[in-house]
Amino acid sequence: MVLAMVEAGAGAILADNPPHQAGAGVVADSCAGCHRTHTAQADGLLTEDQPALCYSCHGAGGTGANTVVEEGKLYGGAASFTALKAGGFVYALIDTDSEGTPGPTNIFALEAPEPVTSAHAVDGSPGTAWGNGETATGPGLTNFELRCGSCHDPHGNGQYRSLRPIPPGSGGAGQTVTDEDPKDYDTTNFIDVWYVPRGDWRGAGRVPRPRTLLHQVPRRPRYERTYVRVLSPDFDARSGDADGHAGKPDFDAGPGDADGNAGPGHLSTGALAGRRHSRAYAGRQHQAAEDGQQGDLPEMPQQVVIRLERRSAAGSDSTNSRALDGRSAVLAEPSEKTCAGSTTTRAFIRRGRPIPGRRGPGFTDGWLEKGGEKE
Amino acid sequence: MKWLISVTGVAAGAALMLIVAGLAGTATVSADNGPHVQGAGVVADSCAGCHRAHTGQADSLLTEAQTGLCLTCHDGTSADTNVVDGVEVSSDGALRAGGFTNARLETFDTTANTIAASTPQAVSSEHDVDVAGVLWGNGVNDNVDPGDVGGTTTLRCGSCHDPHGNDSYRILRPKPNGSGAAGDADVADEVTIDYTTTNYFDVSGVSQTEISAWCGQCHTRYLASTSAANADFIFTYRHESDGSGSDGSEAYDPGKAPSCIRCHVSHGTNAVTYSTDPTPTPGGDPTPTPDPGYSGRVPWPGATPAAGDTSSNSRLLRMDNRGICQKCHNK
Repeated sequence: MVLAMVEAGAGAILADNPPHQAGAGVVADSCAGCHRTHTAQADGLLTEDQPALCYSCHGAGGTGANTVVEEGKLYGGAASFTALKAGGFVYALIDTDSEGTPGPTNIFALEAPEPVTSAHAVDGSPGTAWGNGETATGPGLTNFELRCGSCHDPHGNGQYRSLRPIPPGSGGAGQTVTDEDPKDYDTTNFIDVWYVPRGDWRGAGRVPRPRTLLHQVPRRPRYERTYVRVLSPDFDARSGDADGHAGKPDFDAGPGDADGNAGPGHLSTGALAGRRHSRAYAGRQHQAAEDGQQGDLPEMPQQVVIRLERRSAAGSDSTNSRALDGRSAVLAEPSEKTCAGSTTTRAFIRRGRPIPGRRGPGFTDGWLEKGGEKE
Repeated sequence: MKWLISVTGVAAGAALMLIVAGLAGTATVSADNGPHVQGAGVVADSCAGCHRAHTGQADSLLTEAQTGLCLTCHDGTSADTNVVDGVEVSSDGALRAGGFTNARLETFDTTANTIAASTPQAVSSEHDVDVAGVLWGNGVNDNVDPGDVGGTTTLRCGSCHDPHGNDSYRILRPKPNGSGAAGDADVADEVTIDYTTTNYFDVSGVSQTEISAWCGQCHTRYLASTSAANADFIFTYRHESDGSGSDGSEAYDPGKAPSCIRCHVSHGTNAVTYSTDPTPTPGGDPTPTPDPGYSGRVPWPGATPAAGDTSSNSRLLRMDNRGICQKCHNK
């Protein structure tokens, strides 16, 4: 998903991309995909009423979008589909009784959809906007008509999921939600709702990071890997936390080599926040200093990427470390760890800087192109 | 090249006519001038420029069938209005109506409130003449399932323009031939006739309500004073199009309805449309991609459109793709 944002040339259509892209309007379908000037069949000069119009692409059998919200599926991955974070309106892929295995931190995704038991009614039928209004004013706004476009701006607005700052009729004062970067529509663990606000990887608008989980990262067909995010600074993956959450895999830095690519030593998740103190990084810095490259190695925390792979145990390999044309370096050799009881995960860490002028919608293009190579 | 309609209708013999009709010394003819002046009829060519009493070669005793007869003058050889190429000969100005073979709209102009005139480009859609075509939206609003988009008709230059002159804007017939309209729709002529423009976004000079009502003589079910639903099975929700409150020159104002000509030209446009190509080249190859595009994934109201009746048809629009929508809505 991360990379698919950039290389969506295979017919995939993603939010805030055509046709839901503010200011695009470059092809006839940018308007005519949904509107008819003189022959519209629904309010707003739409070809069809919501949600049927939206389901033309985002519904079961719709070929215009990977995000099939009717069934809670995301297409375009290695598997025939994966689970949308938001669930679905008719079906969903949430393993709702999975919290006990292997631990209370997991709500895994199902492989087959199940009918939903409750959903936001998006067909415009009158309902109650529960909790709307001031306190002590009753259960909420009644006869509230909700449609897809009540929450999402189909013209795109740069917000997370194209959410409207003020859903029409809500009476809200306005609340923007920074888009994630990169976009990631699906999940394998519904308890993990963490996302990367735009700009975070580039060092701007950096916000405290909540915890995230380092397992069950789905493998993508075209890119083989998924970039994931940095962990909570204070989270000790190995020992678990005070709430009893299971410990997460740690990553052993491989043996150092003559190029200084990987200093030996253990790199815990806690070390990720203070990477400059990790032995891996220290070794790299030391080597770089010896090579006279100190100036080329700025302090790294803003730009470290953890890359995870999920592979079958039988088919795993370890040929996935490399330096990236001087802009990044592998600091740790991949290390196989079993996590979540069923997934073999590899991880190694890179640092680097965005390539100026090559900004993409997610990472910089430079990152994507390099990191997205198949092995 | 397809032979096409003429803006001022029958004009054969105009080169001779203009001399004796009081325009001696000029080389061009203007609408409601030359041979197209109501009640002129003072010289032989007033009739004989186009008609033969005993040796006519086409219906109505015409010397030649339309469109060829009209283009005897309006192809740039004698009349000032070269409707083939969309240009006024004397000034080399761009005709407001576009043209039938070439037109001069800078259809990718993203400047606010401006669509500049450009160099000649091949048209991508035009009012077909001499061939049977769909009279889109003709008829009454009804709720017949699946309904029809309009009957068929064969347009000719004289379907819209009265070659004998009638003092109307562009000598438009109050009741276009074949329209089936019940009453007349008069369009007052310009105070100062000007066939050209340097800004195709400015369509002032003619009453916006009158010109919309006139277009509505044929395209009856397109004419809308509200975007609320009506009973028609196909033309159910419609963009306001009656020109109310508008003088045709102002920027977007939600309180003013555009007229038909705010978005469409009447003769032909060189706008290009792409269904799904994400990076169209302005003025480039208009060939649509095979991909059905988003519009190919949503249902056509009432029936499956005929080939070519998709969003990749430029529909006489003034800008590439749906740029004319963006001109106001800026989504």
